Amino acid sequence: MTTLHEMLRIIVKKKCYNAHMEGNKKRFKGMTLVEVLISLALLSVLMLLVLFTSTWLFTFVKNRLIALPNHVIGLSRAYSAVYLNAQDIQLSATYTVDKNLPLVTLYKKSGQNLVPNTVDFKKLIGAETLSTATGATVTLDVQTASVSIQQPSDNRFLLLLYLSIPSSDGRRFDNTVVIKKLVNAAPVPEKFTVTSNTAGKKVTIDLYYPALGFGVRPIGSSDMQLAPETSTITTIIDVNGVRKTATASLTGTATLNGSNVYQELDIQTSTTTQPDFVMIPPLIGVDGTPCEDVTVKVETRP
Amino acid sequence: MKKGIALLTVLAFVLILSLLMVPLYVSVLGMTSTLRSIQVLPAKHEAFAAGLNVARTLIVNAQSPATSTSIDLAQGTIVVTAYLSRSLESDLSLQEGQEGIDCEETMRLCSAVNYWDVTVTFKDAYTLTGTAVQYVMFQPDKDYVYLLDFKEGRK
Repeated sequence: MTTLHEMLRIIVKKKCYNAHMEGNKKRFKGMTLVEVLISLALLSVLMLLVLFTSTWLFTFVKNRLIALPNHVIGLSRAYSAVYLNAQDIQLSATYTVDKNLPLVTLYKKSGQNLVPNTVDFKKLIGAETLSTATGATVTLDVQTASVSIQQPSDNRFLLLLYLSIPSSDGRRFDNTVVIKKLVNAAPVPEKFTVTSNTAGKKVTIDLYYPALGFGVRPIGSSDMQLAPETSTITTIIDVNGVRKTATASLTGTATLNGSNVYQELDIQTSTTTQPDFVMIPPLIGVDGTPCEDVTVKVETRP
Repeated sequence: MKKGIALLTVLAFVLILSLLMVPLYVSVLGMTSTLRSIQVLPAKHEAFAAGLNVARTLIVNAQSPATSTSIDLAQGTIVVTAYLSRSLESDLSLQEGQEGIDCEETMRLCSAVNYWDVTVTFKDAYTLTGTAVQYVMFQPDKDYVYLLDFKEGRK
């Protein structure tokens, strides 16, 4: 009896369990489908994100890699055009700027003369197709390239040079260089020659750079200004230490950028005594450099 | 036998990969060296400008006919040297109370105009040479130093 009862109890228990499990299984299957759909939707969003990100990344890298040779060419052209000529401008005696073209005419010392040289920045950057070692080509479009030169009104020794060259792949290479003139075209004495004439002894001083004229300081001003006169009174001292006045005049006229410049300073004395010292009056150089007055011993040796 | 084929496959793969990498390496190397040489231009431009400013100070404070200094810039080292090549005597010895002055000892006082040969060397490879003229005043800070006719040369 007990065994039968036990058997029945087990059968009922099993049936109940199976019925319970089947219900659970059905519910489990329904949940999985929704979850799978949501997961798939999330996954697709993620995959789309990955796709767009990776495409953007690959395009970015590809563009940079392709642009690299172009960048090197554009940059080297811009740098060499500007910096090589910036150095010439830095070391020139003087220069003039034509902002419209734009070009800079610089003057460099060659022997006793100042030789002009024109720097045309538009020509320097040149319109041509350049090939790289990797076979890539880039065309620098000089027609739409812009070069501009600015000269601050309060500083004549400073130039600001802006250069912008577009290339065929749509990139633009910009370069700005601040050029500060380093050389002073100061009309300092270079060589002394003493000659005699009917008036007396004459000391001729060759100037290293030509002078625009004599310099004068108006009363109350520290700035030296160009004197319109071409002669002034200067002092000579003879071997006995006697001070006398003499007339100084600028000679050896040449033309520089439409202005008269002078390459020699003559000091005419009225005595036949050899001058031992002369006072060189203040002079102004071709770039506006003021040169102070100085008393020096006359050195006739080269 | 299979191992040998696998090894050969790996070796061939490595070889092909290296052949692909060589032109890439060469072109990147070429571009890098070009960019480096381009970088020298602005660095030299700034170093020479700085060197000439240093030359002014060096000349004004010179105690002997030959003077030199070295400065470490971010762009590289610059060495500035100045040699006195010529001097125009001042009229100091004619002035009252200065008759017995020894010009050998007081180089600065006896000179009115000094001509200096200046050299600026950048990175021990680029040189800028020229002449500087000093108008000697009573105080060094009142001196005028004019930089004349500089040219670049390469060592």
